[in-house]
Amino acid sequence: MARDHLGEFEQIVLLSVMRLGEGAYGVPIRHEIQNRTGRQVTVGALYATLDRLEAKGYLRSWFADPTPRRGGRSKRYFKLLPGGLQALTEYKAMLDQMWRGVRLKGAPNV
Amino acid sequence: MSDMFDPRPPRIAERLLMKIVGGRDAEVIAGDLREAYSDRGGGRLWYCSQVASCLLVRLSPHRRLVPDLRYDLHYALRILRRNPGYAVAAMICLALGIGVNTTIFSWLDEMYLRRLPVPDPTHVVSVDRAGGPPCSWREYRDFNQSLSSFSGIAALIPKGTYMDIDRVNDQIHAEVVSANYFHVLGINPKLGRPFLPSDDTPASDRVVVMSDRVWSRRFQRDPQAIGKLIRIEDRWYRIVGVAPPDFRGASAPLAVDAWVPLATYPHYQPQLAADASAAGPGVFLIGRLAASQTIAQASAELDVVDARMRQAAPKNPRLSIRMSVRSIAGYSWAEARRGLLPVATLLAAVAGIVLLIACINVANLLLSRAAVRQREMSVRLALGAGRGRLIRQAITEGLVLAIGGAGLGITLGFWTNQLIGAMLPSSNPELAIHTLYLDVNGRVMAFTAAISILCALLFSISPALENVRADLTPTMKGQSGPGAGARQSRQRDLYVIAQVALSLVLLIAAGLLVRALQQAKSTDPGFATDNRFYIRLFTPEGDFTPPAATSLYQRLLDEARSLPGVRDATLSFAVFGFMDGDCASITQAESPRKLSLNVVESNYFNFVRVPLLRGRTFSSADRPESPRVIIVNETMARRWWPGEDPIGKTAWLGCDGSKPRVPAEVIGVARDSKYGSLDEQPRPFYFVYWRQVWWNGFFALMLHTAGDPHELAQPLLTLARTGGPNLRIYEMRSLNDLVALSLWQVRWQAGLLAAFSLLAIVLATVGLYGVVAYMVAQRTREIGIRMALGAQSIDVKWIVLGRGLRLTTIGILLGLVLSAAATQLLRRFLFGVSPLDPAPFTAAALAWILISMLASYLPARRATRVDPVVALRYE
Repeated sequence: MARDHLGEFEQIVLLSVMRLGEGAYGVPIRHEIQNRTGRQVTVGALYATLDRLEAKGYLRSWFADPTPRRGGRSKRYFKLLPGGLQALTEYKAMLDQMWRGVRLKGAPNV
Repeated sequence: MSDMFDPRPPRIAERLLMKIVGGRDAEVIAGDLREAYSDRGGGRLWYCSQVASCLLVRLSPHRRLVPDLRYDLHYALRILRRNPGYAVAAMICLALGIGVNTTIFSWLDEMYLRRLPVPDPTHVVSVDRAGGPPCSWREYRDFNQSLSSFSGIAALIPKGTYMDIDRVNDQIHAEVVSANYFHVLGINPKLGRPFLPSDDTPASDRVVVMSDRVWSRRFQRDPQAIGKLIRIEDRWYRIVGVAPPDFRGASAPLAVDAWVPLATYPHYQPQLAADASAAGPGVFLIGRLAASQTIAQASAELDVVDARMRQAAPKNPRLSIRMSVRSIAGYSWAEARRGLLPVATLLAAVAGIVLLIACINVANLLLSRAAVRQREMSVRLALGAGRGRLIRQAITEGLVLAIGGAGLGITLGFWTNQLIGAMLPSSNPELAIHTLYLDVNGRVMAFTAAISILCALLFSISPALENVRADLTPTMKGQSGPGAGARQSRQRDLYVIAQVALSLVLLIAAGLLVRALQQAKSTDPGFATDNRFYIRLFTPEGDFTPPAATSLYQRLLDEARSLPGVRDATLSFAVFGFMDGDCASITQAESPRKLSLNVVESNYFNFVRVPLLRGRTFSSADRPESPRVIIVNETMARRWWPGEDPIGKTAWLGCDGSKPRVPAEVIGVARDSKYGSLDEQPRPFYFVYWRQVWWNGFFALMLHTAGDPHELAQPLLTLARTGGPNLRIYEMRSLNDLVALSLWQVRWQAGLLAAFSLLAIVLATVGLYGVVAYMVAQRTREIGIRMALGAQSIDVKWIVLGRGLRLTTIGILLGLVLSAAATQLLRRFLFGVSPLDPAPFTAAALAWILISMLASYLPARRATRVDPVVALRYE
């Protein structure tokens, strides 16, 4: 299998982890995705994807910071690893290649 | 409870998450969810769906179920589209099962679960004493303001009454209420105003709020109806409001059509106006719990009130039962809830069996599909699909079928409901469950969804396992694996056996109920019913003084006797199934026992052919001012004065409280008969003379006719109308019809069960036919060889028929054993017929043998048409 191939949702998740930087854990990641894409994301799907990305070596995670608002349960923070950054870059480059010279009807010229 | 935001998410869902996902992952997810839960301010459903998403992911071997599910679904739909015949067959089977269950559940929902259509219904509670009124009107007025656990309490009395609008007389159910009733429930009339505190005094004007139903039926939804005058119980009432359409009062199953304030209600107003401290009638209470108060707190507070009431009236037996507070769900009439419980259980069980049979049928169908698709599965396995993945695929297909079945089933549910409703008697005042209607609310939907998923799992798991067991090499070569065929056919055999056994249970139960119906019909009610006809009349107190009513009834009686074709006539307060109760005791000091009575004319006993075993009947010498006399029945004579002659003995009549108790002399003993229902046990009963004791204005004027009693209906009605517009006229019936009507429940149960068992048989027959036909298809080659070797067509037929019969016989034996156990639960419906009555058992077994012959005959005939040459050409 093509190891460094990103799925669409994986891409979105990686991007939101990157955008959030220091504060990237479950709740804000979901918020980020929902606010920016308008998609409703279930926790189940989100953590499944995060686990997969971590297994692929694109992310790393650690547990920290239990607060009373969470019923004293710790958060799991995520951080983008160089591998993840590279996968995103490759993906974007690939898409850019594909888009080059293509013009959609009614859309502004890129 | 539910209107307050609870920062803690649903406990069960959270626990499920910790249990199944487990470990640190679960910790983190639970923390995230709790944070998000309080951010969005609740949403139990949302929370549960989030947890479900985690579980789905967790159950998937690659933790990739969610994206895959879409492929599965897509694939399932494509497969079903390609084989519409099989999909439709499966869905119809399921629709039958699911439809029946949806109907029954929606019925149970109405009886036991549905809340009042008011804001925040979970906070609405009722207070009673073992189904009776918890306190008097006066007591209610005293403590009503002092309770802190309620934001308000309203008093009500449900009443069967009548209403005149433009001279049309309607029998309706009304609630006689305290003026804060609508306020406590949180209901705003859709038109006009609710009651005001000023309506709560005896001096107020009479006002009424009526139901949307009456408003549209009698006023054609005219807003001008507000302010009009209507008559209720012969008093003029001004219409001040119309209730919202979905609100039918707080006395389900009764559908209430009018609400009137208690203080001005004709029965109570004079007493309350005359004496400000009068106790007034006993009232039921409904209350709304104050915010953050629980039923337990309200109950504790009422206990204190209760203790005070008991102190004030230490002797009152009514107070010996504790006040109980419960949240209102389903019928608020506890007796109706309890009384219908056995029927409800029976229906639920039967509906469950039908569903099981339907599922087995679909499983069978899927199994044959599995055989056809073995090659496809082998290919997918060979290409590296995981076995779990294939199982999931099969279950997805099952779910798609179940969803289709559920959709059809809900539609079907409407029809079944109409059917069940149509089988109920249209007028039975005591039962009043003709308000039955299917309301597809969230709960019913959830139930249907749950059973559909259950079905899908039930019927798709075993074919799914069958799929993945496929042995790769032979199937890919186009041969069927040797083991698989045998295993599959064994499984199908088991299915058929189970179906036959289950449907046999239903058939036998239906047969027993039919026997019970016969038995009940042949029960002697103990009084003459042939050529007897009655009309029930009522002289309301406001329009008739007792002497005026007495002389009116006497005139009607005399004139009825002289109608052509009438042999005799009499007056009786009670008719079979409708009577009144009183209390009596042997000595004055003894606490009174409850028993039923009838108020009759002196020729009553001769009229209904109930002989007096001892003593005399009433006579004109028994006048209101002369000593009170009663006639008792055998059972009362035997139980109250065992071994003694009851004639001349004294009984003290009357309950404690309302009226002073009076001594009455027993002057006669009448033979026992049935009074309330055909299956009742002998019970104490007594009769009083209507010329001596004025009861309450209700009388059935009964005729003994020479010919068909129904021919007297018109003359009798004409005669009754001479009583003037104030004489209320209720139903007219022959006594034969009345007794038959009392059997509606048995008839209804027998009918329903017969319909269900028919459905079960149809499903099981389809299953049997499928199995036998499949066997013929599989053994075509073998049959060809046999025929080539000289087997006659009769031999071939027997191979096939024998197979069907063998399966059926095993099913029947199993079914008989199951039935013998199951019918014990039917005992209370059986009118004394033994649950092991051999007739239904034998008949049902024979019926199934016949059905199995028919179901296997077609495939058998097809088998004999096998051309050996064609069959062997495949070799």
